[in-house]
This record gives sequence, C-alpha cells and structure tokens, in this order.
Amino acid sequence: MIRCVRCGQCRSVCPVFLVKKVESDSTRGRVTLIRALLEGEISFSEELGEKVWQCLLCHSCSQECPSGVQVEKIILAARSKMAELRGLPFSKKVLIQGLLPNLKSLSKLMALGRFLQSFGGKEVPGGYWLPSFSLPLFSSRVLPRLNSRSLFQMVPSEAPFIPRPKGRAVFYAGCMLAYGYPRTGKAVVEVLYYNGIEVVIPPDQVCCGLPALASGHRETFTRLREANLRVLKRVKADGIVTACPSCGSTLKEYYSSELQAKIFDFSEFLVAADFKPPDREWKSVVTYHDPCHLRKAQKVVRPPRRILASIPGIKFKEAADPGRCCGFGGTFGLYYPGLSREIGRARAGSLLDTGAEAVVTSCPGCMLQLADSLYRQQSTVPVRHLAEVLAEAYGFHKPLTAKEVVRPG
Amino acid sequence: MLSPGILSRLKEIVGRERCFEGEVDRLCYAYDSSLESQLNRWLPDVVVQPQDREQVVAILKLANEHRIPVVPRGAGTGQCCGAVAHRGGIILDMSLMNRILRYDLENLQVVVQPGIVHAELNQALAAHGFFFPPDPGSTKMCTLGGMVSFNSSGMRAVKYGTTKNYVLGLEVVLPTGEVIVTGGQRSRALKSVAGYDLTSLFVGSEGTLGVITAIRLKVLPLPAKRGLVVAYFDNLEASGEAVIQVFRSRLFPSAIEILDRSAIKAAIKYKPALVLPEVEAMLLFEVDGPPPSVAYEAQSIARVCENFACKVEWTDDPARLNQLWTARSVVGAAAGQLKEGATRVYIGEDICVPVYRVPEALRRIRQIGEAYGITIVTYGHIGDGNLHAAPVINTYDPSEIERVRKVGDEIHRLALELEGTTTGEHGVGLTRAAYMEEEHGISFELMRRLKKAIDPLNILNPGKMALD
Repeated sequence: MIRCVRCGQCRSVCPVFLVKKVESDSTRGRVTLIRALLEGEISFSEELGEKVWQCLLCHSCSQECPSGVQVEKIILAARSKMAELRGLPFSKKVLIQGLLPNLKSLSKLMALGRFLQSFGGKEVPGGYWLPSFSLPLFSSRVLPRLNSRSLFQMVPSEAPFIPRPKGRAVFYAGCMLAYGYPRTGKAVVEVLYYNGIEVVIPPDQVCCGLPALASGHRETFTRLREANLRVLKRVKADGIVTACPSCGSTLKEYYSSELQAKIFDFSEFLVAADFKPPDREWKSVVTYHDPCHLRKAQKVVRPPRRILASIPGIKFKEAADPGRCCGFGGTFGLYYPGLSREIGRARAGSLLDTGAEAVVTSCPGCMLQLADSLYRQQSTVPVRHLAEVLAEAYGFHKPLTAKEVVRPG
Repeated sequence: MLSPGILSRLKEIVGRERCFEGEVDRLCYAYDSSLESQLNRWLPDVVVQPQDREQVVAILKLANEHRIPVVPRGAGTGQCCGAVAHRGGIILDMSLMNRILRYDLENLQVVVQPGIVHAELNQALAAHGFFFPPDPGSTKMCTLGGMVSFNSSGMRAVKYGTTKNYVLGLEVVLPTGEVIVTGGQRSRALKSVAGYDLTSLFVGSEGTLGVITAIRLKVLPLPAKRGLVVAYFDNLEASGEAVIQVFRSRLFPSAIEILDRSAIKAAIKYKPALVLPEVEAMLLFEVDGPPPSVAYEAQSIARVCENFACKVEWTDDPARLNQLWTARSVVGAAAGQLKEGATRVYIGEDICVPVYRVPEALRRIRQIGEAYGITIVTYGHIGDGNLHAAPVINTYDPSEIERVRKVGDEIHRLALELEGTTTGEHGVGLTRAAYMEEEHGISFELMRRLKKAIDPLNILNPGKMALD
C-alpha cells in the first residue's frame, strides 16, 4: 500500500470504476480510503464499507500496477478487519457460515430443485433456465438447469483401470462444477481419462473457501481449507487438477505450501501431459474469455488457446480486450446484481464483436455470468467450458449447440 | 463549507447521483500523484460531475455569484497539485463528458469532449487510420481536457511536438458563465492568423481561466511502420553525444528516450523478462514512417550510435516494441520497487534543459541525491531535454520528507541554471509556483493581469501557479 504512487493506472482497468466513473469506486480510491482508515485519518462508515465490498477481486489492477501493489490482498485484509469488528451482514452469515460448509447436504435436494425448475421459469438455450420470479440472492439471473445428480454421483470416485496410465490426478471439482455444472465436471474427467490420466475424485472434498475468504470470514475459510487438506493430502497423485480458476487460484495461493502434489488448471495439466489433439472437426468461429482468476491470478494465458488451436475446424478470434472481467466475481454478482450486469453487458459486447459463434471459457462462474449477459443482449451464442468443447471434439459428448460437428472423411 | 442552498442547487443542476458531498468521496478527490497532495489534505466541499456544457455554465454562474472556488479535473493523474481543491470549493470532475463529438478526418481533425481518455481516443482514431501524436505515459487514464490544460506531451514530442501543436480551437466556459469558441466560431480550417491566439492562452492555463467543454483537435495519418533502435552506453556523456550526432547526421527519430543506470534497474525489477544489461545509460530511438524509410533511418541511427555505445540493437517486432515501450512508460512508478518500504514520489520530477546539457543534468541530479542521501531514478525524453527524476523515499520518515523537499528545490534551481525550465510537461500547479517569478521575470506580471481580466473574482483554480 505504501508503494502506491496514485498514478491512476488501475483506473483504466477497474471494471467497477469503468461503469461507475467515480474516483471512490476506483482501485486508487479504495486503496486511499483503506490507508486513511488505517492511519486514523477517517473513521469507519457504512459508505466506506460499501466501497470495500464493491471490489470484484479480479486482479486487473494488481496486474497493471507498475509499483507492484497487491490490491486484492489489501481488500481482503480490510474485509477481514471489517467482519471482525462489525460481523457479517445477516444474508452473508447465512451464505458463508450456514450454506457453504453444508453444500453436500444440499445435493440431496437437487432432484427437488430440478423438479421445481420446471415450474415458473423459462427455458433458455444452452441448458439454462430463467426464473419468472426473483430468487433470494440470485434475483432473476439466468441459471444452469439443475441436474438431478451431482458430479460425485455421476462419476466414480476411485480411478477406473487405465492400461499404462500417463499419470494420476486428483480432480478438485469445486462447488460450481459439482452441483451447478456436473455435465462439465464429467467432461473434465472424461477428457483426462482419454488422455491416459487416472483420475481420483475424493467425494468428501468441500468448498475451497474463497467465498468465505472474500467475505472476510477467515474462520470459515480455515475450517474448509483444513477439511480439504485432510482429503487432498491422503491421495497420492502427480497433480491436483481444477477446472474452476477461482478454486485453482485459492488452492495455489493458500493451500499449496502444504500439498506435495502440484496444483494445475485443467488446461495447464493437459498441455503438460502432452494431450492428444482431437481428430473431429468442431467447425465454429470461437472466441475465448479469460477468467480473471486464471489469466491474472494464475498467469495461465496460453494453454487454453493452445488447446483450442489443436481442434480441427476452429477459427479462433481474439476479443479486442482479452482479460476484461465479466463482472461475476462470486458473491459480488449476488450482492450487486445491477452493477454486475452492467459490467457483464460490456464484456458480452466485446466478445460478440468478434463475430464468434461460441464463447469458450474455463470458469463455471464466468459461464454463469456470460450466459446471462449474452441472453440479455438477445444473443444465441452459447457459452462453453473448454473441457466440454474438447469432450465434444473427442467425440464422447453430444454437442449442445455447436454449429456443426462432422466426422472427417 | 457550502450552504445547504448551494448544495441543493448543484444537485438540481447535475442530478443528485452526480453530486458527492460525503467525506469518503471528497477524500478521493483530494489528491493527484504529487508528494504534496499525499502529505496534505485539501478536501473539496463537494464534487460534481457535469454531463453537458449547459450544466458547466450553470455551475460556474452559481460559483461566480457566490465566489466559490471551482477546480476542473480530469483523471487526477497530474503531478503538481494542479487539480486539487487548495481552497476548498467545488471539484468539477469532467469524466462523464467523454465523447467524440465529430469526426472530420478529411480535414485532419476531430472534435472531442474533455473527459475522453487519451488511449480511447487513439484507439477510435486508429480504426480510421489516424492518430493524435502526443503520447503521455499515462495514456490509459489521462484525459484530453487535462492534456490541453497542461499542454502535456510524452515521448514523441521530439518529432511531433506537444499538445498545443494540435489544438485548433476550444469551446470554453468562462468564470462568468459566458461560452466562447477560440480559433474561429465556425472554423474547420487547419490554421488561422485572424486575431490574438486565444487558443494558446487557454492551452496550458491549468484550469485557471476557463473550463474547456470541447476541443477541436488536429490529427495525423498513422505511420505505416514503427521501429526501435536501442543503444547501451558505458558512460553518460557518450549517450548525449550520440543524440547530438544523430541530429547532425540529418536523422530525426520520432522519440528519443534515456534511462540511466537506476532506471534500467527499475525496469528490470518491473519486468525481468526484458533482459537488459545494467549499463550507465540506454537510449531508445523510435523511427516511424513508410517501411523503407524506417529501415534506412534505423540502420543509420544504429551506425551513428555504434561510435559511442557498447551495444546497439534494432527491432521492428511489435511485441518487443510494445514490451520496451511499456517498460519505459512505467519505469517511474516502478522505481518504488527499488527500495523496501519506500515509494517513488513526484517532486522536482519534470525539468527540461537544452539537449546538449542532458548528460550534465543527469550527473548533477545523481550528485544532489547523493548529497542528501536520497535514491533518485532518472529517465526521460532526451530528444527534447525533458528529464524525469524519481526520488524513492519512505514517506513516513519526516527526515526523508525534509531532505526530499530540498532535493526537489535543488533540481528546479539546477534546471534554471542550465538555461532550462522547471517543468517540461507536468505543469506548475502548487509545486512549482515558487519559481514562476524567477523563471518568467516581468512577463509573469502580464500573466497575473490576464488572470485578473478573465477571472476577476478568482474562482477558477485559485492559489495555483502563483497567480494571486
């Protein structure tokens, strides 16, 4: 924080500032306010608290900062202090302390959820559903159609036999892939199998804890982290693979020192494992949306593009502003739906400007946001996880909306 | 403090949601990059964001009637306390007036609102094959209104000149609320000698004479190609000699930048992948134009430099060009990374001296730093003699603050001694006000008279540039 020279470079990339255009909603403003608070120059107010909450933790500013200020660390510390002094607001308490550690029990209700989704909502192309009423936290956001089973019920937890395996990986699925997008999670596993990787999916893994960390509730975060460490340390593997960049960056930054196996994003692991290029065509003009927690937090930029380039028939178009945040930001998207939607609108616009027929990304959170943002722009362009695209190009997933999938010859 | 009546009038003018009176917001408009604004808090009473000219007119009329100070502000990227509310009052944040009003490219011009960000303007122009040549390091965030108000420039000033060379006319709201258009009421001409050059009076006036609401700007076709010659030197004098010899050889690069040893270190710290040798100085010569002339000019410059430099390289690879220019543009802010617990501060950071005295200036700046025990990173536009000194200090140490203020003063005095100026592009604001009389002599009195004639009640950016 001391290093900040207030040059304002961060203003040019802060998604919240770009929408609100007010200095106190820019990174430079937030850092100044937190510093003034620490130095006793101003006292805490609800207004100041809002400014600290209204950060997506997207790392855009830190990536841009010539002085090397790690803004997300400053914001996390401030939130933690705020939570300690004033406690979490009631809805966050329910979410962070109540729901997050008990997601597993919710999986029992998935079939019920799926049943309820057939009432009072609208079918949205690409496997999504738009509620006709405002849901708590999710308001009227486009949501994935729930599956009656979670990922853990869809794939075996122990690695099935693979002759002469190339390696062994633990798949850390994360909440979104396990419950919201189990079909995508299954694609991850199948792509790994196809590439000769033995995959272990410990069923007792829990949420990585990022929502608790981001909300300043370190205690819940530590509890979840310890639970995961117990599970992950037990399995012998060459690597821990994630296909959710938010989980990936949390594991890399806050778990890694205690794990012997290295942590990889799905795309990193595949490229390192010398993956097989698919031989089916996936004829489509495609653009890629970089999840902030992959591009900026983990610095993984090339592997997903390399994988896309290996798929025959794909015509890749880079967006004018690669690395621009989609505006989801986990709990940010739930607490500031209007602002999140505004940011998403700008992102969807730049992706559509490429003329893409499909938007590919590597993050289930980004998928959720982009599906909503694209739908609201009357676009029918589907959003796909890299693993799904690859699974289709390998031939073991039926395409959802790809324009054309043909067998060569 | 402003009365509730005035506050509610301001809210009526700009809308309740664009009028900020809370402490949190006011604090965020109390700074720019300068050291002085880090050490002092000059909180405005209110911040307003006008959305059109009529709102600016109404605000100025109200302010003039009640003698309330008004400080126009762009992105707050300045370095001399130019856009802080030194005497309280209203901060006029022009960020929302950020559109391109008219493309007139067949006449080599565009009309823009003052809040447009430099990089966004150039991105829009590039789509048509044009550009606005002045290129400050803060391109991604600084606004055109700020650039015009401070006559900013950047790295290509050596060939293309500064902002003032591109401003064809301005729409300005005077403190009384009158709206004037300089450079001809309906003119779309590229030049004019009809009457006093009022445009030039407002360019560089730092918001003390009027509020700019539209800018008629000359633009140029984008050069077909750019290339970069990088030369490394074992001693400082040799770098200065190389620049002079390049000019003597009838070569005219678009930019010539120098990084001294400390700046090279900072660049490496920022991006180790740059792979730079730790020599006494490095020069970056940019050439642009049609491809054959770029190749010819680059080779010729490289040949001249070989007589003085220990190593010379040349590239036209856009990725390497981008990497080297990015490193150059952030080296100032990256300087803070050289010392644990310290930061780069903006003081004495923008002198401009005759080109042939640049090596001497660099050496003397280093000596000043050593005399006061302050680390100084120096870099800048050697092509036009504009140097940026970056002291790196612990801002919590009162002794370092005291010493760095003396360092700033000595650097400013050095500039005057070397037949230069205290500021080449960042402006006067508060931080260089003390040198105005000495630098301008009797003509400074005329500046004061002009200020009084245009802003008799001294409501616009009062206290700046020593005008009152």
